Amino acid sequence: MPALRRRWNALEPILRLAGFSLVGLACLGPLLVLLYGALAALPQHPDWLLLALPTGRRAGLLVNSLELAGGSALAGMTVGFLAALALWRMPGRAARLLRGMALIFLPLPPSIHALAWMAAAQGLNTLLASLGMPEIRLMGWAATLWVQFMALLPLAVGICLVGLHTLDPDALEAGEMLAPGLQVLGQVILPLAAPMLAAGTGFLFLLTLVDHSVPGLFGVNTYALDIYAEFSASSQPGRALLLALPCLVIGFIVLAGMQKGIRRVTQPVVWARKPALQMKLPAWLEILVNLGLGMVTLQVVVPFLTLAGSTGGVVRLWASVWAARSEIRNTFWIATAAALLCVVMGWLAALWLACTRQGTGKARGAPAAWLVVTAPLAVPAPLIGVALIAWFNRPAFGPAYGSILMPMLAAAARFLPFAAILLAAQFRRVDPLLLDAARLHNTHPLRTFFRIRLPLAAPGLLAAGVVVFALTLGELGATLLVIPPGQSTLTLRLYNYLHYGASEEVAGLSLLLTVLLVAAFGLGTLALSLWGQLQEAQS
Amino acid sequence: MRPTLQTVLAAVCLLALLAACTPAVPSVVIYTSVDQVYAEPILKQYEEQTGVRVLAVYDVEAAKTTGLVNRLLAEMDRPQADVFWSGEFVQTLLLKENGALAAYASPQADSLPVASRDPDGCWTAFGGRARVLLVNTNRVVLADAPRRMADLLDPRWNPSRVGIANPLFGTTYTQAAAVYAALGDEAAQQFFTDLQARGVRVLDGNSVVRDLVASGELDFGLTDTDDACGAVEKGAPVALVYLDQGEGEMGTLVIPNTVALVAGAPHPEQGRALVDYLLSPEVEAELVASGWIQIPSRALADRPACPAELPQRGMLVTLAEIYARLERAKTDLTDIFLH
Amino acid sequence: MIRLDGLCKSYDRKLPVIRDASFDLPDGSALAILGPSGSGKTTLLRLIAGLELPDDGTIWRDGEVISEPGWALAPHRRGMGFLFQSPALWPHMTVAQNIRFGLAGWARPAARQRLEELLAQTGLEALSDRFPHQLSGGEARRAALARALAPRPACLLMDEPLTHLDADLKQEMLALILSSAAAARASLVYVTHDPAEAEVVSARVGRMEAGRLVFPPAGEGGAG
Repeated sequence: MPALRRRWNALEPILRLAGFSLVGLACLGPLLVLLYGALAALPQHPDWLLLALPTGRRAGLLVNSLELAGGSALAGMTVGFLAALALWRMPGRAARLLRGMALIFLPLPPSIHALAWMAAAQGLNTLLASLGMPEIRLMGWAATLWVQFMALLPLAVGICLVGLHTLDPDALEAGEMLAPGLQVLGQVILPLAAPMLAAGTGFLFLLTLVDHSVPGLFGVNTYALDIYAEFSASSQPGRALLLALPCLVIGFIVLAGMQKGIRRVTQPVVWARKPALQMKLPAWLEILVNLGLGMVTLQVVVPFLTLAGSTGGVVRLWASVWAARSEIRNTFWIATAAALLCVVMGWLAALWLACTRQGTGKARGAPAAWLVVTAPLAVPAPLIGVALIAWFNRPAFGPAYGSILMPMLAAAARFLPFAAILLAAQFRRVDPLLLDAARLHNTHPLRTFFRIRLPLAAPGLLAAGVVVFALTLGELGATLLVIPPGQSTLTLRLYNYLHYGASEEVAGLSLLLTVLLVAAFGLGTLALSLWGQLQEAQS
Repeated sequence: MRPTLQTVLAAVCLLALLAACTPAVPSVVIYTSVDQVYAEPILKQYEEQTGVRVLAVYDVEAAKTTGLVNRLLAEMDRPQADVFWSGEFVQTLLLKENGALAAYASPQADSLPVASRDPDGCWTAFGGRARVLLVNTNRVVLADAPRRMADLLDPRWNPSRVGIANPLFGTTYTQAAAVYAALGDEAAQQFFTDLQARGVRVLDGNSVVRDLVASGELDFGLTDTDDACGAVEKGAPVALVYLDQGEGEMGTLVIPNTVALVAGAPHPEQGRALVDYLLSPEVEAELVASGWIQIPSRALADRPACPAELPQRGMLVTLAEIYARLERAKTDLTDIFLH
Repeated sequence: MIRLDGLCKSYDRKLPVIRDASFDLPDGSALAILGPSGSGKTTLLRLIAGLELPDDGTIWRDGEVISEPGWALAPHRRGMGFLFQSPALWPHMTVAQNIRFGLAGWARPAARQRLEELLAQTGLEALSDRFPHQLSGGEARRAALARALAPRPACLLMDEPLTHLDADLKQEMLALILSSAAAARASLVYVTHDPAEAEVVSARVGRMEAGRLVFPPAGEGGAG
């Protein structure tokens, strides 16, 4: 027996390395394919190297983008945290419904949010004009920041809620026994929720940094627009990638800096919920918290009213849904498969991100891991698509290329970092003693995995799955390049109608995206609950 | 083996046999940047008529033309598409330049003007949309509306109520290159510099220009005839103006559709048949009737209500000349508009 | 018998945590290890449990190597129970589920009987369906003890198990631990910083001093 154990122990690091290599391949593969293409072209075009250095006009655009991204991220997470604080403290079943409502527009593409706000501004201006008051001009930097922040608010609220919900109420009540609510908030709640909050801020920053759609709508020039303009004009992925390199470097710096600031925070994962915390905050903070809640309400009400009012009635809505039934099916399967793939791969990546040298709390190989895992975040979506074509459009992959597998892989390639970082934040919060206790009773590794590791990671798993699902619903740039001929997704159809000016169909399909997300969230929660009941029956 | 496993294996073998014996439906793959609402009925009709399954991939304007062209270029070593149908010509010329298209002289091209055909036979142009000024008639008296591109710089117009789509993308980019070809590099650069300096609103696309003019937020803006007529048909208070129609003036740019066979297409025979179909007079007439094409290449018996009239004077620059100015236009426009 | 021979462990080359720790633990015997916080007591227990690998030295069980540099027999195959400083009960499982986790390979009737025995032994019959957050501190410790005892381990490792308990509860818990260990005929390695506690556990008391496990000379109450 000891000989067998020796072989297994020797095999374990190899298996671990294989797992991390797979993750590295998934994250870096597309980037490496593109880099190879760029490097191969450099001898003939040495001037391309200059594209990687943002100077002159481009430096100005990059600063513009950084300001916008930073502003959106900070505003989004601040308001998101305030709103989440309000929702988290609310008792009763109505609170659960409100929490769900706050997240309902998570999958809506930012440009649809923008159109909803533009329509709302138009309506408001009509009213103001009738009252003889000056119009509100929804243009420029302020408008872009507002719409970007509103579009990202559901994501911010969701991540903050996950961060708050996994706090141990005992730890918080212990603080409440000793200090006023504000001090507990600042010195207990915020530090304990820091991993998730830091992850969320990074996500919002990077999502804004590479988005060109919302700034373009409001006349704001950004670095992302420059990348797309270059790619559009030259159709040279190498040039576009070199232009995107500064975003890649910035993305790494942001996330690496964030993870350094994340202290190892371990506390028991609270499985059964206690009644919500009745923490007393000072009046000025209560006002801010309620303002945050108000913003979230606005973020739901304005798009909902605009979209619902534009569907053209129930009959028209049903006609739009019926006409899009194959897109609905495709979209659901692509998003589900991408979410599952990202959760599995994200688990491996999170092990790498969160692993420590035992006892010291220092991360083994952490900087390299963060660089690898965050790389896809800064690569523009169409380039991911181009890289996947270069990789998979080979006889060796046979019918895989040209099948529905490709958009699933495209979405997974883009959104794996989200799953990895959310899971890493969750892993860092699990008390290692719980895992040590499992090792002492581990009669079978799979049993320990399904009965101990998986439940302890459940909040992170659900968050990762839902976020990837939602983002996949709205994915356009990479999907367009790899969708099999004869098939389409809901977002592709929506944008086609958008260009055509079929606002009723656009509104109907936009609402359909949110329905799909609610359905997925419900199914995910049901699956977790059924699995828990199954475990109980087996014990 | 247990009986259950035997049954399963037998069923699998039977299914495999059935699948092998079932005759494959002939199919053709088309990538098209024509709006799905216009292209899909044409392609479905082809399916019904021929029994050939058409597998289409539609582009989206939001991808900022980084979509299908890049897909075709990336797939060049192992093409998946048979036919490329574009709503304009720049992407098609780019593909030809990169060797992504195959020469095919469709018999249907004989009824089209000579200038519509690529000298090397790699693409054929037909029907088109014109670049027009869409004017909100509640805000501007039509008789007073600008008549030339240069009039966009007229100080009597409030620049925040004048709109163009981003000149770095799409048909606005094509029009900008056409201006470079028509006026010369220096004059064109000056024009766009002045336009930007005036503070004219640069919007996300032709459809946004259309919507803002129709709503009255803009007095007028440059867009394509398909977008413009869409607004007219919805009853918006708008009218179309063809710019530079006077003697010695630049003329109006007409952007034709282009159809091409993809080099190394997996189904070349089906691809040629589809190209022939798309270039047929019947399809052109249907696209005119549906509102995609406003400037037909052939004389048609029935013309739709919009546009009420066709431009008298087109731009006297060839597609190749416009294509040749793209690089210079992009460099200048990036410096002028993207900072 | 468990034998430690020249065990060394460090997390940082400059600061070894365990230096050359050696002792024999005959079957059924008890050993108390004293030392202040940070002296390496917990690390020593974790090495014995197989939760960490030694840098040097060997651990033997009944003449067979179970830990050596770069390799350790898996913790669940060492026949050891561990009571951590905190109860470390799995928060998503009830008391009964926590205890039954270590009885996975047992036949159902036997596992059910063993569970009932342990619940009775630790006074948790009425709390078997409760979740950890519904237990008091003492109840949680007893549940953790029941879990550690469940698979009838040959050796029990206790890492300051009475931390944060009041005096009465400490006495009660200590009595329970000792009686359980005796009933199971298990060896016991008991780590504490309380000399009085150590003396109750065993006449044989070792001290952790700067990473070294030191036993008083024979005749002064225990040898290595």
